[in-house]
Amino acid sequence: MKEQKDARLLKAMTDNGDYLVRLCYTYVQDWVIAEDLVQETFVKFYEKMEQFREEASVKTYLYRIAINNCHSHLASWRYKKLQVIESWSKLMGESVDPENNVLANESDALLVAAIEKLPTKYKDVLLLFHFAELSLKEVSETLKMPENTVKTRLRRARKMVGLTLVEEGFEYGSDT
Amino acid sequence: MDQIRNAINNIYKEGKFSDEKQAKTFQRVQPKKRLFFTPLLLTVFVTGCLLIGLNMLLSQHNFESNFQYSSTTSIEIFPEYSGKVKDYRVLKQPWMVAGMVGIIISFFFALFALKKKWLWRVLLSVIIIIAILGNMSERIGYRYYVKDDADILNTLQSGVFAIGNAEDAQLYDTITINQYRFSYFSTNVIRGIVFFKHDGRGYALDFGFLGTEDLMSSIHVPDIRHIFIPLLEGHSIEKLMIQINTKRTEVVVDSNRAQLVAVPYETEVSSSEITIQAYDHEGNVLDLYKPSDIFTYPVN
Repeated sequence: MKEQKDARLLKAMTDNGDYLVRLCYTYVQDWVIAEDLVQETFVKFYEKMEQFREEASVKTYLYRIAINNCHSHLASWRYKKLQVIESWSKLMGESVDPENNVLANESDALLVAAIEKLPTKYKDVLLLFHFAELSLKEVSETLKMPENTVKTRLRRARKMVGLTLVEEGFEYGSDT
Repeated sequence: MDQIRNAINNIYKEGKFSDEKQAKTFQRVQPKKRLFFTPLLLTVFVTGCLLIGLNMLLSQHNFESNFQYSSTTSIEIFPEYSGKVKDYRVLKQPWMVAGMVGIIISFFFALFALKKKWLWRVLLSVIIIIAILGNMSERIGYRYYVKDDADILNTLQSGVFAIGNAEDAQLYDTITINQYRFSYFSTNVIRGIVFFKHDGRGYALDFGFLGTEDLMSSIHVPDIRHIFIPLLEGHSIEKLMIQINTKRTEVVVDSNRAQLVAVPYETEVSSSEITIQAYDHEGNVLDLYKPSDIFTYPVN
C-alpha cells in the first residue's frame, strides 16, 4: 500500500513537478519559494491521495493546491516584507536583474513578463487554461466559480496581455 | 502547443522540481515517530515550576492568613521586624490573577508559535508577556515594617502618604497594644495617625488617617477594646470624660503637649454609643468628639 502511494507520488512529481514550479514562479518570482510551494503541494497530495482514482483529477487537484499555496504566500507577511524591501531597493536605485534585461529582448520573455504583471484573478484563469491546459469546466471547478465568469476573465486576461504587449511594442494576445 | 505554455516553458526552462527536492518531499511524507509524552511532560514540568514558584512567592509573605490574632491573650508574643519587603499580596487581586493567567496562556502560545515557526506571533506573545509583567511589577509595592520611632519616621518620609514635605514630619506619640501600633504625627500642613498591624513577622504599615483640620477624629478599635483620642499641641484640656452607654470613664491629661490618649473599655460597644467630652482647667465642658467623629478601625 505504501509502495503504491510512493509510486503515485513519484509519478505525480515527474509528470507535473516542473510545470508546477514554473506556474508558482509566475506568482512568487522566486525559484526557491516556488519549489517550496510545490513541495507543500505534493505533501498535501500524498496525505489525501486515497481520494483520487483518476489521473485527470490528480492534475486538477495539484494545480488547485499549487495556486492556493501561491495565493497564501502572496498574502503572507513574509512576501509583503520582501515586496517592501524590493520597492525600497528600486527606490534607492539598486536592482536590476541583468538576466531580465537580456530576456526582455525576446518575444517569449515579453509575453511572460506581461503575464507576470497580470492581477492574480486573471493570472489564475489564464495559466490554468493555457499553461495547465485544463478545460473551461475544470478551471471553473478548480477556482470554484461559474464557467461564464471564467470565460469573461479569460477574455479580459488575454486582452490585458495583448494590451500590455502593444504598449511594449509587441503585438500578441488577440482573442482568436 | 499553446503559445503561452510554450513561452513559459521556454523562459522558465531552468525551473525544475529538482531530484533533491523530490527526495526531501519523500522524507517529509514518511510517517514520523511521534513522541507523545515529550510535550506533555514538558508542559506538566513547566506548569509545575510556575505554580511552585508562585506558591513560594505568595506563602513567603503570607503569614497573615495563618496567624491567630487575639485581643484577650496578653501573653501573646509579637516579634519585631524592621525594614521594607516586597508586598506580593497584591497578586491575589482579581486583575492580577487575570494577568497571571494571561501570561501563562501567552507563554504556551509562544511555545506553540515557536514550534510552528510563526516568529511574528512569538514576538507578539513575548511583547504581551513583557507588558503584563511590567504592569504587574509596577503594582507590587513594598510592605513597611517598623520597630521604633526612627523606623516610623523613615516610613513617613519614604513617601507612602501625600503629606507634603515629609522631612518636617514630627512624631508625637506611639502606642502599641497587642497586634496594633498607632503613631500620631504631624507636618507643617497635615497631621495624622498611621496604623501598623502585626502580620506575624512584625508591625507592618496598614492604614493612614490624615487630616488638615485642627480637630482630629478619635479612633475606636473594637478588636482590642480601646479608644484612641488625639490631642493637639498646646491644648487646654485637663480631663477627658468618655461615656460608653451608662458607664463613664475619666482620664486625666497631665500635659498640654500633642499626644495620643488610649482609653480601654471592657464590654463590647459600637462607635455610636461612645461620647467623648473634654474639661479645660476652668472646668468648662467641651463637646470634643461626637459619635459621628469617631473612626472605627479596622475598616470593614
